[in-house]
Amino acid sequence: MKRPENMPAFGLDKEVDFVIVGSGAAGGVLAKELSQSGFQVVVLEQGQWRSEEDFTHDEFDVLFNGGLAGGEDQAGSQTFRQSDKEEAEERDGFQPAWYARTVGGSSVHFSANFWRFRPLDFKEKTLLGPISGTSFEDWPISYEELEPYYTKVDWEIGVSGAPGPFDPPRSKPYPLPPMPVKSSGVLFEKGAKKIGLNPQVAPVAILSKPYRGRASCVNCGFCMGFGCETGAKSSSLSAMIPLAMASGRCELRSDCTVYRLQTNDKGRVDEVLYLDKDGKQRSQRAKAVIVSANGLETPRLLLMSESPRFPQGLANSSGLVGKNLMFNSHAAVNATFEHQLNEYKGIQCTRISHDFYETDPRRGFYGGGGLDGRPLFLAMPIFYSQLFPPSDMPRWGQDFKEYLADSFTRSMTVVGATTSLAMESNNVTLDPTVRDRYGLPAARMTYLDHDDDLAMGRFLQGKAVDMMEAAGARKVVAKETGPTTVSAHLMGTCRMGNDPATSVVDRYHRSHDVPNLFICDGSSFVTSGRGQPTMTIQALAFRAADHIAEFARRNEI
Amino acid sequence: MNKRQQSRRQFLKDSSAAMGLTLAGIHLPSLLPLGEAAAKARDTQAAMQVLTAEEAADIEAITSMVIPSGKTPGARDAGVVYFIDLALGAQLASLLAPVRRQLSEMNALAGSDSAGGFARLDETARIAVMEKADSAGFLGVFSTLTMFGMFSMPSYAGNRDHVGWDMIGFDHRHAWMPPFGYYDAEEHGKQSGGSSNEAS
Repeated sequence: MKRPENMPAFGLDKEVDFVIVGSGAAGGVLAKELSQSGFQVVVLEQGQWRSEEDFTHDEFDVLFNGGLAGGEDQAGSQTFRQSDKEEAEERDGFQPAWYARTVGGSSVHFSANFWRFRPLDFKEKTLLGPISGTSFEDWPISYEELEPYYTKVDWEIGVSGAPGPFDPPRSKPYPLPPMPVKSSGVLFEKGAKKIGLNPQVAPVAILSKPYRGRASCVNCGFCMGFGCETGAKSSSLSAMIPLAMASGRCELRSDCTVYRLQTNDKGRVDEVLYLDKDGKQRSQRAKAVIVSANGLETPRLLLMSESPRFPQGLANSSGLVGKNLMFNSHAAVNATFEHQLNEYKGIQCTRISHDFYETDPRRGFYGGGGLDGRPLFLAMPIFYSQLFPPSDMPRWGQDFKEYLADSFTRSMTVVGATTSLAMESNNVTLDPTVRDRYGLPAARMTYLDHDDDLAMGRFLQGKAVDMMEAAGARKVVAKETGPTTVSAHLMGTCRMGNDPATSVVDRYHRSHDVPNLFICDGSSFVTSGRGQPTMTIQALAFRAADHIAEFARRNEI
Repeated sequence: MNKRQQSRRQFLKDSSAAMGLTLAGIHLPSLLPLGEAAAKARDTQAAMQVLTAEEAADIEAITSMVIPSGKTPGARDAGVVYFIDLALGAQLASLLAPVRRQLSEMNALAGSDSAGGFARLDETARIAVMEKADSAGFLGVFSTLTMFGMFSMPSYAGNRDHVGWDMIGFDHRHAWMPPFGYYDAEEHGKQSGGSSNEAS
């Protein structure tokens, strides 16, 4: 990536207005908003600065050698266990938290499903009552308060969609019409209607038409896990960073891994310590710091920033930094049809159902979710060969060959995504023994889905089976469901709230403990929504930027 | 044995789905020399880079049992063994030793104490060894490597002339227009964009 012409080079000793840690879904928005508002911003991103021309369809490299996820740079950075009775283990290759290390963060490789939360997501505890053994809580903000920012996301980054029967109120229509429906969408719609559901167009952060100088999608099919070659996916890389660069007030430093936020004797953050591309220690001074490193890396950084004054880690007087990790549970049903769907063409999802979004006490458990029709692994041949065939099928021989040859173009998957109940037992801590390439402690995840989350997944799976049978599938296979062991959704680990004893940041994303430290990303979530967090991460970021800019103007940072 | 070694050992015991993901791991030398070597292997049937001739013969024989050649091309036609040879010297270098151990196991099942034993078996005997290996749970690594060699970009030396992609009906292009398949054709008011294996 060539250095953008307008990009300033701030001295490390210069106290800039803001350092933002992370350039992803939230960090990209904050960088654009604050630099356009006249502030000097340094963004530190641990990944490389790739651009559209660097992205490929090379599945072996991008997915199996960890290209976008960081390849061997990931070694020793994550461990996983299901309970605190176990010793957490490292994994080779695919890491338990699947996120992209690249400028633009995971907004570069996500599938771009883009659901708003609904009013109930913010006040479900009030609506349903408390749930024992969990940290189920209301948000300190409402849907109504966030709605203008959802709309801002729609129009600033470019979202394609159409209204659905259960949508929350919106102040402006979608800026772009829906993406062309795929065969999975047609069959999903047909099956859903036959079993009495109300399918709707899937909203996606992908351009169906040219928009604000960016080209529209060419339906190449490589959305999930890949970077977009045309910039039609509305990632922070394509939609936000160029605007931040154009402001002339934002410096983005890639390949820079922040390992410590340094506090002074007044208890304020005054320096951000990081390792540059060559592993050299650097530090940047700033008036205020915003951590948008994702729901795993954000608590890891805060915990690594402990000091005599903050012995439990920075911003952690509540003890809740890293706690209440939420992944969303998932269930999948594979269906094979008579004719070709060719799901490898086009985007992932074109039709969804939100019929089971709300908790229904008659189901006997808490939770809600969404269903969508898509290729899932059928978009990528190697993934398909590994993950699509039934688990009891021998992986060799003529029958296997014929199965592979027949199923790839004729199949689809219905995915159910559910709520995750917040629990302190699901968390991120620092691994006591495993270290990454820089010698920093791994982020240790402890995670086991709540029984209600798994029950909701099984419920949705049953509906997906009915739907695919009703759509005329010749074969329907419900994939085994169980506890989540890999997730791209990282939420809840620095939750937002009014009470400093029970939350990490306030309603404006300011840390309760450190007045010039803001935290804004998936970690801010109080509840998990129904499976597509990125839209809400970005709405929160636009809202946070408004407030943080106002604080800065009033000299309150 | 540290945790990484343990988990590597664990994956060799595993067989199917998780394998592909676990195999993922190891991002090693730059892809450029690999691509050049791959092109050379394609052009000249060059000698193996990492595997001995006997090991290559075994691996070609095993991968040909995973995806047999017949009415349509199989692993042998795709050049899967060339992919494996190059990858074991590059991205998958850390798998070389484990793959060699698995190969010894296969040859032991084939009644041979040295490489090349499996390749010398006739078809019936190969099937018997494959079945035994599968139920013992160590066929997975060969199956997964075969899939990589069938379906990765031809620049990695497998998937020659796109025979792997053609087998499953994946047409690799960088842009598509609807209709994409049979079921959305009506929505888009056109004939289905079916591809070559619709009739198969």
